Amino acid sequence: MSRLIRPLVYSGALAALLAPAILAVPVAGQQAEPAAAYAPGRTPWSDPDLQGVYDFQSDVPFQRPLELGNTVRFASQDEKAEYQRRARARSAPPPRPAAPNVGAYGAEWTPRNVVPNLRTSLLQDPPDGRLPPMTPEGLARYRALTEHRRKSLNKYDTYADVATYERCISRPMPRINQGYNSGTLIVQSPGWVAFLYEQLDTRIIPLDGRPPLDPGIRQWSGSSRGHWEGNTLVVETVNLTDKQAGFPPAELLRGGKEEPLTTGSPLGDEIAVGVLYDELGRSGYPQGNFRLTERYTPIDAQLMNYEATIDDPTTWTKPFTYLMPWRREPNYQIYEYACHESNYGLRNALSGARYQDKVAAEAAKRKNKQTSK
Amino acid sequence: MPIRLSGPRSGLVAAWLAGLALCVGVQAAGQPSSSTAFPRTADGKPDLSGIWQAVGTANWDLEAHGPRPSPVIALGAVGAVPPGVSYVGGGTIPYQPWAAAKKQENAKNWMTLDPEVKCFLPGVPRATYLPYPFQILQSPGRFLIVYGYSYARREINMVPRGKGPVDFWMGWSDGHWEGDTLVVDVTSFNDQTWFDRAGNFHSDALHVTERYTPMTPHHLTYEAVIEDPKVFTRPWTITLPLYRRIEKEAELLEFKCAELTEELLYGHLVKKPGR
Repeated sequence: MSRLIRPLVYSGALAALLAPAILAVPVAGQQAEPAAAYAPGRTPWSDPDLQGVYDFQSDVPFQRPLELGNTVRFASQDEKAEYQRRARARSAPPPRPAAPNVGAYGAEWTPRNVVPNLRTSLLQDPPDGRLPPMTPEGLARYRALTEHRRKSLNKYDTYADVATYERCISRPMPRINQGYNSGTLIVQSPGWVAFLYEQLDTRIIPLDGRPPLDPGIRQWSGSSRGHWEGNTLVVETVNLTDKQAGFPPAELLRGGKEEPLTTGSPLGDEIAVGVLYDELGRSGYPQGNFRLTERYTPIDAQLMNYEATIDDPTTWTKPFTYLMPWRREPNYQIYEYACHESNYGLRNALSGARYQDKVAAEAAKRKNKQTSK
Repeated sequence: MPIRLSGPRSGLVAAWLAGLALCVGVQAAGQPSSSTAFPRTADGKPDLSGIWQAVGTANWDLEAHGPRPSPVIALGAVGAVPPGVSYVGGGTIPYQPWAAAKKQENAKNWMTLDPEVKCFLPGVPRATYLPYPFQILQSPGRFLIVYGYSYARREINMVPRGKGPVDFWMGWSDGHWEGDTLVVDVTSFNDQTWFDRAGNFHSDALHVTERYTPMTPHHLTYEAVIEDPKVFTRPWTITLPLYRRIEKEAELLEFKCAELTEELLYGHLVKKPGR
């Protein structure tokens, strides 16, 4: 529809008339569920208005813990809390009296915006809440990556062995729960929607039906094109770079051995159970040039369902979909994230490792001299 | 979208289109009424949404200068500094004497000191005239400027907040309208950014007042008043046009230069074979 006549068709008054009579009734602790009934406000140019700051912190594991079997959701917040308490107790490290608990790194600047969610996994499809099997090629890449990480762990031979997030380049696509700074601002203008993630990345997605970028242009955020299906913003992304290896979390492949894990991380209990790392402190499987489909559906005045489908036939035998509710956080101020400018962590880690190399080389030289005497 | 016209017959075509609009009444509110009208939002404000880019030599050197050879010999003409006129009101930047000396020192050490070489955030107003496009998203009460360079971006708050809680590379931006001009007060800068590749600089007392004014449907006049009592003897002004990127499928492409500068910044700390 042309921009000339759209405003006439969707005037504010008309939109209100057309809004379904049955609106979602918000109840305390309401869960993120598909709700066709909610009609969000409209922009002056008549698109559903999703604008504002959201957060999507989660205490739900990506995959359903094996022990939960067919349980798709907990019956109540109490039941969920009890399960989390038991799981934490099981995986708690043995007490270390010599090391007093100083709390988690950065805990003071990780205010929790955990979105209520009684589901037992973010993964919704396959319905068992478990990732589909990897392809032989995907498994081979995963093993090679794990082996490389095992060899390079804490060696800091090169910046290239460091996660792209710690190199201040990009966070993995698509976004999952992260420890902090996951506030995300949505701004719309006619024909465009922008996602400003507090950390590193901004995506500006055209809604005008243009084709994706030339396949020769691979980007960290890929090439995204959006359209509206009712009140749902659908974003299709291709041309993703295969240089990132951060998604999804490899919580079930610790050292190549499958192990149910519901809680715990190298960062301590302060970090919710949704953030999971492999034994090397790195999350994620290798990714190919996958097709990503994201669906943003506002379900009430606060909550928006975020559904992401990853179709990566070179890595996975089937596509899979996860659902991660986003919630409006109107008081969340997104600040500048000048990461690369002050990346002393990367510089000092490399510099420290080269110093250790030097010390080790000198020690080896001395030893050689002694043995040759 | 406004209709783009050029050439000797454009006046005639514009008159014909204007007549057509009057006759059949297809011109909806918020649409440009002729080829010379700037697009407007439903509330009547200029619609600055779009992809814009500066053209010229401001990022090479804000002041008048002749061509200079490339600091990297291997780059030859590709790395040479093109000549350019001054974008500064009155011609030259009114430095205090100590600051004029520091500017010269900066210029001598361009390759090692320029934050752009390291892919550091460019600050304001330099972000505007870097050789990359930037995109403005505008909706009621909201302004977002996303730059093609690195991860530079600014949210312009249309409810004045005063000074920011800390210092920023890109400052802290409060905007308001003065007629058809978007005025942005930018404060709370750190002292790390430069104005150009010629070593022009400022302190953390920098206060920039930007003015974005529609000129034609595809051009804005950009003006930045620079105040910094620690470095300059008086306020001074940068003025340049901004051009709309009118390619039908224009969009910002990723230029995540943090990745592209790793060898420059950390290469000497990488383990060399045999060591």
